[in-house]
Amino acid sequence: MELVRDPLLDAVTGLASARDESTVCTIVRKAARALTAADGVTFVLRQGNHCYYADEDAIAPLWKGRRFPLETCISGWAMLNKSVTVVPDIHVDERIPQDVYRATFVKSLAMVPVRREDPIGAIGAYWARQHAASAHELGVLQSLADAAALALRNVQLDADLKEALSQERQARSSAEEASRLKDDFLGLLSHELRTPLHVINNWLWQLKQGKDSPAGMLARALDVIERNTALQSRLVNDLLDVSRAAAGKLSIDSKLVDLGASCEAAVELAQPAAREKNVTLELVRAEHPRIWGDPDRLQQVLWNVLSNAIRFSAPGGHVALSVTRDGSRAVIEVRDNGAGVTPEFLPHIFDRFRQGEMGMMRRQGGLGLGLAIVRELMTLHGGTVTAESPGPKRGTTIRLEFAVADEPQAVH
Amino acid sequence: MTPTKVLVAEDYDDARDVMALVLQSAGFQVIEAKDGVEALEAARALKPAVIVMDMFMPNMDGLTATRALRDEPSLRRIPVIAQTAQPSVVSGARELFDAVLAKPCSPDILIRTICDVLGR
Repeated sequence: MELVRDPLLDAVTGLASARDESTVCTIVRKAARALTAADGVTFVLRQGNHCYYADEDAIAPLWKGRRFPLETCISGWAMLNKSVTVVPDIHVDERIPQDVYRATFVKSLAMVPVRREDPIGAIGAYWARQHAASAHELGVLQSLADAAALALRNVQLDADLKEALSQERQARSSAEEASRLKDDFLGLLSHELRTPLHVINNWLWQLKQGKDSPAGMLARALDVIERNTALQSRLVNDLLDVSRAAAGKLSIDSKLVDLGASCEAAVELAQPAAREKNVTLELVRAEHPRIWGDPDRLQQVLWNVLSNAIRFSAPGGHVALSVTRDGSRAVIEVRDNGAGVTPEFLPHIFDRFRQGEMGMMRRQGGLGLGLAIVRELMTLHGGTVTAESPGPKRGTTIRLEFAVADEPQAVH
Repeated sequence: MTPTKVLVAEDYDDARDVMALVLQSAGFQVIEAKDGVEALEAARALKPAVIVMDMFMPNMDGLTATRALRDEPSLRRIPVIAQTAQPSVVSGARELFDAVLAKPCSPDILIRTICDVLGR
């Protein structure tokens, strides 16, 4: 037995499995033309206040790809009035914009809305002769339009679902990344707190042995214990600062500050750390712009930036600080010729809980909070901090910018 | 009797110094190494009786150094004690080590552990 193929059933079956708009358009235009024996068909989609002629199948070009305001064309009329329209002779119907039709073969047409209750489009059929569309022709067009409405809804649901899935996936992966960074940070924190404690414990044990300690042993012990206690205090203070900043409770106490003098003091303070690592630390240019700032917090900013530059310099390296006035801005630059930063890591250099990936070969020292604290403090000062690096092993420049304080009126 | 040789591999100067003192006080002869590379060289040259190995070190970390020791026939029997401030890093390679100690670690425990792995 030979199967009888019905073009409307074929179209409905095809539309049921269509997953994108262009497949829907193709099925609709081919089926509409075959079912009505029209000389041309159009598939029109509503886009806000416009009709968009999405697709067509005709003996000569109609309006594919063009947009018209809803009120100016017959497809718009069909959508706005939610009704089937038959125009047996376009020359005697005032709803037809004659100039738009003059260039076409069209002498008569029929238009059915897609989705009757709230039209999202329309299917048009056109003939090159006067012709009043029959009830049968209108019936199949309307059936096709109903199937197309469902198919378009499927396409939309499919797209919404994909979008929701991808958003969910993205949200989950960034939550996982944040949780991994926190775990890594906790591991690092525990390591950095235990290390000085280990040293202190061992020294206390050694001192308690009490016997045959050579002269100077106590002084050496106190020196090491003091250094490691200070190291731990700094870790704890950094942690407190970061958690205060996260809670929005970090604040500054502003005064007029000579930034040049602050930088001189900071370089002085960091010299021992530089010497210990055989790194040259220089104040290469010191102008004296005045800013509103918290002197202690500014020292903390400068110490964090300088100690970072020293830590990531190789022995024999060079760290240069300059402070200048550039118009209404005061600019501090700290330039080193040390480890540098990869372009991938550079955007994260001021993030909390981030350190360059160094695995188990990382050196002792720091939680990777220093620059995060710098950024917080700079924000509180109404300033900015930026980093530049030409790449690994090619050094890093940290640039701090502040607004210069208005010159105070002279008081007599 | 010559004192037992203990190799201490530790990158943090303050920690290595005091551990050397502590172990000398306990009667051991101490060899010091600042990273995994130095530890391997010292192990080959001086054949210590036991190695106390830090994990996080520059140039070559303690895990890598211990794997390398286990691959060298003349060194693979030397007991290695991992001493680390982040014990989780050895959890996947526990079988490489004769003992794992978490910092901070009391010298009493370190000394007892050394004696244990030496079978004394």
